[in-house]
Amino acid sequence: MLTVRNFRKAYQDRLVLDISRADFPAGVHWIKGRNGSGKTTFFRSVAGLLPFGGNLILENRYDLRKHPVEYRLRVNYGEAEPIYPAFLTAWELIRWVGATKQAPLGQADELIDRFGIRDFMKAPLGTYSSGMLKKTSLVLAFLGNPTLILLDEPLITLDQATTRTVLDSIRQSRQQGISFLLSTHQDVDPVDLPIDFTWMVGQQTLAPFPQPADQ
Amino acid sequence: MKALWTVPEKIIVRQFYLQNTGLFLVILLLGFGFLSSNEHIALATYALHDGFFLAGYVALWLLYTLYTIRFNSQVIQTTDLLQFFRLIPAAKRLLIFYLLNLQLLAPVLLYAGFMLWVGTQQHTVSANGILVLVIGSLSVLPLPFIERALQKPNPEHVSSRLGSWLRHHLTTPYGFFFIRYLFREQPITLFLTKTGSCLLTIGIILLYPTDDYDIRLLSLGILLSAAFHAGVVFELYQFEATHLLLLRNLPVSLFRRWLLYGGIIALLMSPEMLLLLYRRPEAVSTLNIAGVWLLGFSILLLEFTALLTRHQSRDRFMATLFWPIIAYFLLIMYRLPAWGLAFAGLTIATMLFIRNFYRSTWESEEE
Repeated sequence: MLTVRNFRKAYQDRLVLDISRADFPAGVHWIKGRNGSGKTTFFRSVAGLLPFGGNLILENRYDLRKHPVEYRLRVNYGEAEPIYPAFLTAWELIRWVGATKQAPLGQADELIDRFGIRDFMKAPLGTYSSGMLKKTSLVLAFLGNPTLILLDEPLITLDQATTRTVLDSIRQSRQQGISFLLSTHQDVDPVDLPIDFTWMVGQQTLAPFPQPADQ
Repeated sequence: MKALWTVPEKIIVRQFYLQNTGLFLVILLLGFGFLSSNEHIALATYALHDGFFLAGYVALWLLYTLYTIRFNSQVIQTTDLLQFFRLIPAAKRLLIFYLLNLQLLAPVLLYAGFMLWVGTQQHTVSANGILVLVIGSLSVLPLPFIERALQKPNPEHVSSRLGSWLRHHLTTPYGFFFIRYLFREQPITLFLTKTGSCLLTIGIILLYPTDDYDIRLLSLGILLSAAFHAGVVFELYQFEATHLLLLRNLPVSLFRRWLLYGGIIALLMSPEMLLLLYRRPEAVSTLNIAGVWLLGFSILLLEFTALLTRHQSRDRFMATLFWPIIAYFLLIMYRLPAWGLAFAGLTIATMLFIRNFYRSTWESEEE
């Protein structure tokens, strides 16, 4: 589903990640790693937010460099700690992102109700709590027809009911053929969320991690 | 005392100057770009001898003080960490905030100090007394507001009915996100930039028929206007990098992105376009006026693409603009046509954008 080749990312000459080769099959991938290990950098690079060296290819067809629009149409990203312009409303962001991601008719409304943001979505984002911002970012992450959704710490700041909604959404989307890269420091019950593959980010690289249950 | 000082100094004073760099840059350009030191001394002398003129200075200082009070109060009310100051004895707390506030008022204090120096030379005793009284009053004016802000943290904001209605019935197209940001978060920078640029444009237009000037005068005017806008261009770069990170994840072609940035910058420069078109000197054709405006537009796009080419801090960005502005000045003086310079600028900006948009990044380390 996602092919990584000769991936290198440095900040001001300080190497953060060097992944010579990684192949992500379709499914749910749990990316583990300590704080500061480079998980968010990897997610942001895969989402097309950060420049990097090497190649990222989706479905063996869409190279992020050669097909920037087609690739981005199929890769969505939910940030760990989303920051949005305080004067905009969630509704304005959802309409804008939905239009560019070619969201099907009615999808935005369905996601708004699923994540429970209808009551406050027309208030300025600057008035939101961190949980409300997180819910907004999750709605944005599921918009359109993605092949891959990157969710950086999707469960933090959420109440129990919304946590359940997120896990259900991931499970349902997986059944529909959508893949996920997740990073979370929280333990997830395999019954709630079946993880297909686990990876470890550390020592400036990314490697498969064979026994997710042991970690 | 130092332990109590460091945190508010970083949160309030440094942030104030960082967030208002654009504002101070415009003030410096307006205040010291046109006026020589002799003219400043002449203005100060006039103010010291004319009560009405002096009142104008005091009014400006009061406005600035109110602006610092607004900033101060907002930061104190929204930064929970500063609530610890309620645990400190009142006298000590007031002393700390008084000293912090003096730092925020530094531009006013320095200019008032300069006027006092002029006044001492000229023995304007009563005006000097008024200056000392005014500065003393302005330095203590923020204290009750700061105390009030400390006592009432995190106020509930009640939006107006009109604002609420607009939010429920209208949505902002992407092209207006940044314009709304400027109006809401950087109103003073926007006001001073546009006022300075428009006054300059009007001045150049009025000056044009008074002597044997040619199109170069208008080109130099728009060049200076474009230099005024550097702070706003940096704001655009910073706004998208820090508040709209998801923009780069959206499936929008480079061509469309380029058109959107062109639209935003054209919107920013639209007052100058209207002024140039409607107050156009008779001797200058509409085509030439369009070329002059396009020159300014292309310089703003070049400024933006320069930031995409290499991330720079605001200060460094402002400093690096100096030589390109001098180069443009010489090219204009050597009679290169405005249309030609505009097309060359647009071509270079487009190439830089295509090459660097996806390679560019706001240099801050992430996890």
